[in-house]
Amino acid sequence: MFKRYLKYYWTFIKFSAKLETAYKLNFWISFFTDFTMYFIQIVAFSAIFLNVDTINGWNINHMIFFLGTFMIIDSLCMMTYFFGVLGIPSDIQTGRLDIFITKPINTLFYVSTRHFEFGAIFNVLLGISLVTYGASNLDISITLYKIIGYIILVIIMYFLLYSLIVIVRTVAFHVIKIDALMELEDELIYFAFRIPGVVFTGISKFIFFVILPYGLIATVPTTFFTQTLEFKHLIISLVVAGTFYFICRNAWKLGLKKYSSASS
Amino acid sequence: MKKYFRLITIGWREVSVYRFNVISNAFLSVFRILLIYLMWRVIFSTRTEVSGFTFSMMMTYYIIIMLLTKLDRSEAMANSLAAEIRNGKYSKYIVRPINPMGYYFAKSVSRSLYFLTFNILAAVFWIICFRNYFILPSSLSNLLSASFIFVLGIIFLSTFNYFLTILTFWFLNTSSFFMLKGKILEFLTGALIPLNLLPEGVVALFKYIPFYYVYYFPATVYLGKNSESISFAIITLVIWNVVMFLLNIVLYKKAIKSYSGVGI
Repeated sequence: MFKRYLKYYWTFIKFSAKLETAYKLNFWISFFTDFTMYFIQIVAFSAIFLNVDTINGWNINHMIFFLGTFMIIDSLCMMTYFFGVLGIPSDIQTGRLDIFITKPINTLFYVSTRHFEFGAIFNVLLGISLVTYGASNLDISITLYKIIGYIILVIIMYFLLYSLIVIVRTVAFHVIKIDALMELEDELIYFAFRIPGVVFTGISKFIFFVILPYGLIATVPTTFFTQTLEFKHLIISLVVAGTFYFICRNAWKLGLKKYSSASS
Repeated sequence: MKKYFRLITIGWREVSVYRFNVISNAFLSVFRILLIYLMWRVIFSTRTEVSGFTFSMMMTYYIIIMLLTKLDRSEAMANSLAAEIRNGKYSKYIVRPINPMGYYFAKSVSRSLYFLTFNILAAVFWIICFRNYFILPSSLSNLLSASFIFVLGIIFLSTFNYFLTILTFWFLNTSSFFMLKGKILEFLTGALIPLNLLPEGVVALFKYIPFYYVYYFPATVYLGKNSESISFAIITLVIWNVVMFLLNIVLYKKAIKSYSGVGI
């Protein structure tokens, strides 16, 4: 089954590549827009660090590592599933989901992977460069265990972000307009995802690490690599990621049961 | 002039249909303001001042910025005009006895005024929540000067957005220009971080570009800073407004000749 799905995914990538050659400018626009956003983020934090030495124990190199991690996860999301998942509410509202349901393939897999964004590849590489730069300037030992652990955590957080984005869109199965909810999600992704998790304490930590775990995404791999992640926080993060993936799968299944095509 | 006032009242009625969206837009900044508070609280936990700002000044700055950024509605209007140019619906403005730029400004004003009512309520709510950190204006003259400069600034933003709309006549798809502009301007206007955190040389350079005076400058004048540069700010913005206004007139005359009304 895994091989079959890999084959499907390869077909979607090839199809996206054909589309990309028809609209060549899109590649550069996508790359340049995201790059500008990351660049501004880096400049903003650098400006803060011109005036302060540390933010709750994090120095500029921790922040560069964090921003690199954020860039990798965000770009992987943009590259693989973001634009597919983004279309779910409109697919539900217009009845276009019928096309996907009738295919002999997992519907959620189909709608999520239908668009591959080539413009994001360079930003993943830039993210890796930032992480490498940040790590080399931090006074920590770099071991194979850390590198493998970091990669595994990046993958887990990539799926956590996926679960969060899909859950919000499954609400469209139950209510017609989810604009306000998407605006709220924009605010959360824009800030909670980009602000270093070290600023969260007490109730805010509970909110942004457990209830709305956008604060975990780039922070957990960073704190693991920089040796500031406590074991209990690692376990909590894994439980949260697993729970949200479970909710995502079930919210999607529940939504499909409720779905009555808009066009028929 | 009467017809433009009529357009403002019609625009007000149009936008009032979507009042739930306007209200949710005003209050959805809850997470943004909360995360800003959390981040700066951590930074200020080890110091009392950052680049001349106390924690109260920082919170007041962001509450003011939150209010001001929500009041520029010209981008939505510019986007809708750009879409009409793309699909040929723009032809209606050519046959109507009305100046398209006047129509654009009148509609933008009506939207801004409508958003102002709900966003003032939201700002009052944030002021009550953060009453321990909110600073009242240093003087009435500073408040009036800040308001006047902001009005000039918002007029500049409108003319700038109209300039991007005119580019649609040549480039057709300008949505990426708007997206990119949004990200860059968020930084240049001081909406992301106060510009005084940047190195002095950069700030000195920013003083000659109009974006510096749109949000950052009025907010700092409100806080009792930069009062000595008020007349320079007014002169700079007036010059930029006249330049953009004339540029738009010249460009529009050229652009309309290339319009073929495809899609009618």
